[in-house]
Amino acid sequence: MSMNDLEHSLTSVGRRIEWPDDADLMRSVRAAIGDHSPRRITLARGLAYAATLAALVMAVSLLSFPGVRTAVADFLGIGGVRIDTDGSAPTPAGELDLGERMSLAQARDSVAFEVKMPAALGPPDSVWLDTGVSGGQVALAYESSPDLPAAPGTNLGALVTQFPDAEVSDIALKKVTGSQPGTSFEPVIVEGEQGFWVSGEPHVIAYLEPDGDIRNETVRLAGNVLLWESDGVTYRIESTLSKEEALAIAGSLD
Amino acid sequence: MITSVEGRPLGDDELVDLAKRGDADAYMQLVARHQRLAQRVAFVITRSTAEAEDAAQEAFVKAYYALGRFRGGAPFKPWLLRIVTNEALNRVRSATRRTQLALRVERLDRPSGDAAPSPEAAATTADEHRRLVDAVNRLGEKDRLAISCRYWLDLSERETAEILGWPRGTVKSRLARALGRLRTQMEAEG
Repeated sequence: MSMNDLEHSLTSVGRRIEWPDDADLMRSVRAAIGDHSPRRITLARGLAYAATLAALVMAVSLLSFPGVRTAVADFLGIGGVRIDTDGSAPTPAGELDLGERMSLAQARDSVAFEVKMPAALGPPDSVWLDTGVSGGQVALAYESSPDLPAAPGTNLGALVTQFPDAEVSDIALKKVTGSQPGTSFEPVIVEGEQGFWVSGEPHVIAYLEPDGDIRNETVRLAGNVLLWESDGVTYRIESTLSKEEALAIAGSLD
Repeated sequence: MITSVEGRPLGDDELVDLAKRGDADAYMQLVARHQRLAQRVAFVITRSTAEAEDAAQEAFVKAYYALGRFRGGAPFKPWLLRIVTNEALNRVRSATRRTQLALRVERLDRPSGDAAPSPEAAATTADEHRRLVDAVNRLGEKDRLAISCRYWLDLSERETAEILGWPRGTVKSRLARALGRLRTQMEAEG
């Protein structure tokens, strides 16, 4: 049987598949939507955007007075903080698609690997488990603080993610960073293990799955990503911190 | 049904625009238009009629509230189906072991749209089709998804990539590998 014949047969079979009867979802979807409008969300975001803009204009005009500049820059933490320009209101961890929120103990009970804590950051503000990732993915979310500037668009300063069964690979990274302008990665050694520092606000990073497939993963925080693997567990730190600071956090994992 | 001034049905993009502005009826037209495909995609993943229905319904609700994040000008169908896929995969992964239905070819050997074959030829084809579906059902999850999306749900390679969240090259290589496996299986059975 040639490939063409096979493809042709597959297509003809497709017309004769016995699909289960589909349900009419109109009523249930309509009921769930009620009279809510997606517009309200958009409006709220628009208002938040206007407020951000106003604050930015004020900050910039203050900055033009030399004496005030340093004080304001210190106050705003400019250097670390970047102003969000996509117009969305700060997103809390609950909206970052991290899975289900639970206690650290629950998360530890739910996965087969050992969940480590970065001593440098202290206890996380929230813990999340994503069962959609094979083997389970645990995310530790840290809200922003003076030492931990918020990533644009969120109230988070750092996100530490751990999951098993994937390989950190330069081939996979090269594939995805190549299509994201301004994004680059460099190999780094993290606690004696091969890792990568991906900078330039990547939107997507990638791993190799055990079967050789490349798995893309959306980066939740706009910032830099430190990525490495140790004892079969892959770790990822997303933040706006520098490479050295991220490496220090990585070194404090215990 | 909402139609344009000229009376033609509105396109997905126009309905999305209306829905974004809070027109729930416009959104319901999108539901009506895509609910069958949404449930079939979900069924391919969950292999359960009830789970597929739940996943599709939940996806439509989530998609509605996510409309604000939907990029205008992009096609609605793959964006929606990506949400359906995620819902369906979440259900599969959180579910405990349960019976899974396999896809089947219709028992009735009605002509498949090609030229009417002789009764003997029809019987051979029907048998071959059944064996082919069985072979696809035996493939690994990812191969099965790729084949089903591409050949049975009539989605393009680009749409398949977007819906499954794979790079386009991965769809291409996985399809090629899956076809190779199918061919080996079919040939082995003679």
